[in-house]
Amino acid sequence: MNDLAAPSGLAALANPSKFLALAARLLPWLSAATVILLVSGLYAAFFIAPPDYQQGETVRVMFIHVPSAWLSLAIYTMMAIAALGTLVWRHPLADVTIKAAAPLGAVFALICLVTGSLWGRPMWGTWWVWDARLTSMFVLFLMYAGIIALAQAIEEPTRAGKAVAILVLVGFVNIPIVKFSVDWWNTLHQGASVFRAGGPTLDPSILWPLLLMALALSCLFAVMQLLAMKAEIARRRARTLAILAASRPASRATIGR
Amino acid sequence: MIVLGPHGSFIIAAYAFAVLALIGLFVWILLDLRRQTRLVVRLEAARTMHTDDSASPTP
Repeated sequence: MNDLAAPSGLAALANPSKFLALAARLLPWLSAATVILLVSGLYAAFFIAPPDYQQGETVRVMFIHVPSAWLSLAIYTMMAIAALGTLVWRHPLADVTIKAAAPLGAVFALICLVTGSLWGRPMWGTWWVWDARLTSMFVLFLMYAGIIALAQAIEEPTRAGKAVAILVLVGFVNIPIVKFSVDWWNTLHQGASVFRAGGPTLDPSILWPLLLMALALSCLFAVMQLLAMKAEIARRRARTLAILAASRPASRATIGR
Repeated sequence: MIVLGPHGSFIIAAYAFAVLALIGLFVWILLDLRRQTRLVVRLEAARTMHTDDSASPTP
């Protein structure tokens, strides 16, 4: 038996049907917020934010590149907390959360890498350099790919959940490396300009469209995460029903003996 | 119409990739959800049918 009690708010969601009811209530609101924020964010990014004094119009890539980078880090952090939920509290939805979030994090990390490359070519004169920030971000993408592969490789959900949780926690060491790589090493990638000790260095006319896009993509992530968790819960239910169906003739034969 | 300057193709390519990747991910999740939900409905129906068969009295 597990002596450590899960945080009370999360414990209430341990019953999948309660979670599904909550998801059904949240999804319409989150979907509406996503559409409104995405339209406003893209409008602000293309029509309100001025060109940068050095980079010109190319700075507009930042409005998709930076939120994708933030989200890929935030999703991994959320997965690491869920991994603790799997290993410490054995919360039934913790490994569902990880399995649903991993492909989402991988896609946001890939968007960050590809848009960064497309931004780097005109600004740095190169598609790619093996500097600390770019390399650690690439490692984050590989971590996501490894987690997805491991989750697919083990059929039994509880065993898969534990193995994946351990891998997620081991990989979490890369998150501070990604964040602080620009401070710890001399990189071609610029330093932090929003989340830094002295406050943001961006002009408000560029900062608020960036934050709006970050909020929009966060809402989009929340919608996709809830839908992916619903799919994963249904997959596990289907698995249980299939096992029950497969065991019926055998149990009948045993009873008849 | 906004003018994206000499590097416009890089900006368009970045947003096009992001949009395609996110739409692809969203559609994949929706298709997976629909497939799993249908499978559960089918298995539940089979289970109910089996329970009914077992419950019916034999002559």
